[in-house]
Amino acid sequence: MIEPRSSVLSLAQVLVAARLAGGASVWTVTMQLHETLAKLVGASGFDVLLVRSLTLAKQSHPVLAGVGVGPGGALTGQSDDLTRDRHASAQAAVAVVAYFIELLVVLIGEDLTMRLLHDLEHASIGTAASAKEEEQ
Amino acid sequence: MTARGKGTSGDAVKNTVKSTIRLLPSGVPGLDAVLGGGLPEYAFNLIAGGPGAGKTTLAQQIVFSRATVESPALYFTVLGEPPIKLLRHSQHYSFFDAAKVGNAVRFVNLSNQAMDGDLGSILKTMLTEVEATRPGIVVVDSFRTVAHASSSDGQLQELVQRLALHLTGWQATTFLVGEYEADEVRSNPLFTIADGIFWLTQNVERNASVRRLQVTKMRATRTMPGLHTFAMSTDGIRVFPRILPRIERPSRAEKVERASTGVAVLDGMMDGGIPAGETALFVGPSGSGKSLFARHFIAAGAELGERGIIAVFEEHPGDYLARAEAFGPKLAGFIERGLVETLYLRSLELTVDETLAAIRDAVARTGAKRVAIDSLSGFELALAPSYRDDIRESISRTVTALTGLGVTVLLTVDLVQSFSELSLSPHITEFLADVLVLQRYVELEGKLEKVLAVVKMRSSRHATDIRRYAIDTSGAVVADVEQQHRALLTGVPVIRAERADHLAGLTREEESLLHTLRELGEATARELSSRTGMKSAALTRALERLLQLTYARTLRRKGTVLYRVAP
Repeated sequence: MIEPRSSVLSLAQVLVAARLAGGASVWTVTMQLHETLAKLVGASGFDVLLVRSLTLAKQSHPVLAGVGVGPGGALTGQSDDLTRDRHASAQAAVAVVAYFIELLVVLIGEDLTMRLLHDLEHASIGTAASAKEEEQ
Repeated sequence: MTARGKGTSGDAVKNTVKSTIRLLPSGVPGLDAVLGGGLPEYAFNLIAGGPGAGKTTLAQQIVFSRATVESPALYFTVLGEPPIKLLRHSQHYSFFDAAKVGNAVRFVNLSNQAMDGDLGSILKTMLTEVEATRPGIVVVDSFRTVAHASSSDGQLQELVQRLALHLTGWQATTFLVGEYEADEVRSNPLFTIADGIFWLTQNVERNASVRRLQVTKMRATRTMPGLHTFAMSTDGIRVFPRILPRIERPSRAEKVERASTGVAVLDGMMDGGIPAGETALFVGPSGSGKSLFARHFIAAGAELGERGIIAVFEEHPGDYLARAEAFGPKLAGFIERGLVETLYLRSLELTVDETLAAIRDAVARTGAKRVAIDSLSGFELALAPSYRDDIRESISRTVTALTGLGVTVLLTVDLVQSFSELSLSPHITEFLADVLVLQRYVELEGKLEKVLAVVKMRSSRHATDIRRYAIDTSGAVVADVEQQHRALLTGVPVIRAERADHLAGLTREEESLLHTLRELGEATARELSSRTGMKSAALTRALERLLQLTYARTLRRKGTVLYRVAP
C-alpha cells in the first residue's frame, strides 16, 4: 500500500489545476499523462498503472465508484453528481493522479519519474499562469 | 562515396577510394579490443543468447554510452521485459543516466502491435520513429517476439530485409536483441542478413556460473576469435579479451637493475636480486615460507619507496597481515603510507581474466613496481572449476603484460610432491618464470630443516649453492652453504665424511664463510656479511679464526682491508 507524499500531491494538484484553468475537464488529465508516457511504457503498461491508481484512490474517494479506465488513458463512468460537483471532481482527480505518480516513483524512482513529467509540469504551470493573467 | 578515375577499367579499379567504416567506441570495457577497434558504424547487428545471458544489459550499456541529444538512440521494447521493469532494473547500473531518458535515449514500446500480430504496423511505427528521430543507434528488444508475430518465414525475412535496408540507409547502427539457440544459425535468415553477431552464453558448471561472449561474425573488421569471458556487475558488462595486446619487453640495458628480494643472502645468490621487470617463481611445500619471501620482496620495494601489490587468495588480508606482524616483515606501516596494497581475491566464481584484470587495474591505479601473487595454487583454487584449464594461458598473458610495464613479479606456488620430484600443479609450470627458486624440506640430524636454491635465472648468472634457511621473528634468515651433506634434494641427505679432513678445525659457519670467500676471490667484511647474512660480531670472530688457522689472509688496497683465501 502506498500513500502519495506531499510533493507528489502538489504536483498532481498543479496538473489538475491546469486542466481547470484551461477550461478542460479535470478527467482529461490522465489522458495527458497517457500522451506523455504511453510511448515509453506501452499503452497496456500505462493502463495497468492507471487501473491500480484508480483502485487506490477509490478507498479515500468513494465518489469514484463506477469510474473505469478507457482507451487512451481516459477515465470513464463518472456519475452525474460527480460531474456536476467540480470541487469533488478535482479532489478525486488529484487523488488518482497522485497515486499514479507515486506508483511510478515506486517502480522507476523519483528522479526518472520527475524527468519524464518535467515537460508536462512546466506546461501546466504555464497554463495556470496564463489563466491567472487573463483573470486579472 | 566512391571516386572513380578516368581511363581503362584497370585504372578505375586502381583509383577507387574504398569506403571508410568508422569504428565506434562501444562503452563496454574490453569489447572494443574483441571487435578489432570498436563497433562498425551503421552495422546491422544481432545480440543473441539465452535468458539472463546479459543481452539487454549489453545493448543498454552501448546505448547509454553512445547516445547524445544530437545523435539519439531509439530503444524499441517489444513484448520482452515490460518497459516499466526494464527502466526499474536498468537504473541500478552505473551507466544508466536518467537525464538521457526521453531525449538522448528514447524508449518506444511496441507491445500492443506485437500482441496484435501486426508486423506491418510494427515496421511502420519503427520507420516513422526512425525518420522523426534520426537516431545514431537503434535497438529492438526483443526481436524474437517480433519474429513470433510474423505468420511465415517469408514475412519475417521481408521485415528483416526492409529493416536492415532502412536503418542502414538512415545511418543507424542497429542491435536486434533476441533469445536464439545455436542450431538456428543455419535456418534463421536473420543470421545471414546481420552484419555482426554477438553470442552471449551463461553456463553453470559445477557450482559456478560462467559467462562468455563470442563475436561470430562482424563484416569488414578483424575481430578477435574465440570465447571471451565477461563479468556483470553494477557497472554493467566488462569483457576480458582472450588475447591481451602484445607488449614488447624493453631492450635490456647492459647493467640490469635489480629488485632486491629483501633477503641479503638471497640477493647475493642472485647476483644482486631479481632482474627488474622479470618474474620470479618461489616453489616450495606448504609451510616452507613462500609467503614470507613474498612479503620480504614487497617490503624491500616499499623501503625504497616503490609501490607494491600483494594478491592473496588463501586467507583474508587481515589474517595475512597479522602473520606479517608475527613473523615479519611488518607491512602495516607501508599499507598506511599507501606503499603496499593487498588485494583479496577469493570467490569460487572468479574467472581467471577477472582476477588478473583486478591485479592489472591495481597496478595501473597505484603505479606499483612490484607485484606478489601469493599463491598461484590458491588462485587456482579460487577459480570457477571450468576456468582452471585456462590458467596457464591467462597467467602467462598477465605476467607478460605486467613485466612489459617494467613491473617485477613474484609468484609463489605449492609443490605437489615435495621430495623426489619437482612437480607443480598440472595447470602451472615453471615456464612462467625468469627466475626459479626452489624451497625444500630436508631431514638433517633428526630435524626437519629448510633449504633453498636458485635453480634458474634466464638473464643472469646465479649461485648454485643449496643453503639452509630458518624463519624467526624478523623473517627469513638464509645462512650456510650446506656442505656437510650431499643428496639434499632427495629429502634424505647423507653426511659428507671427507669434509672434516679438508677443513680441520672449522665450524660449519666458518666453512661456509670460507666457501663464500673462495667464490668471491677477495672481499671486504661488508661484502662477506652481505653474501652470508652473518652479523658483524659473528663475522669478525669467524674471520679471525680463518686467519689464525691460515685458511685466509688479509691485504690492504687503497686503505681497504680485503680478505683472500690463503694459497
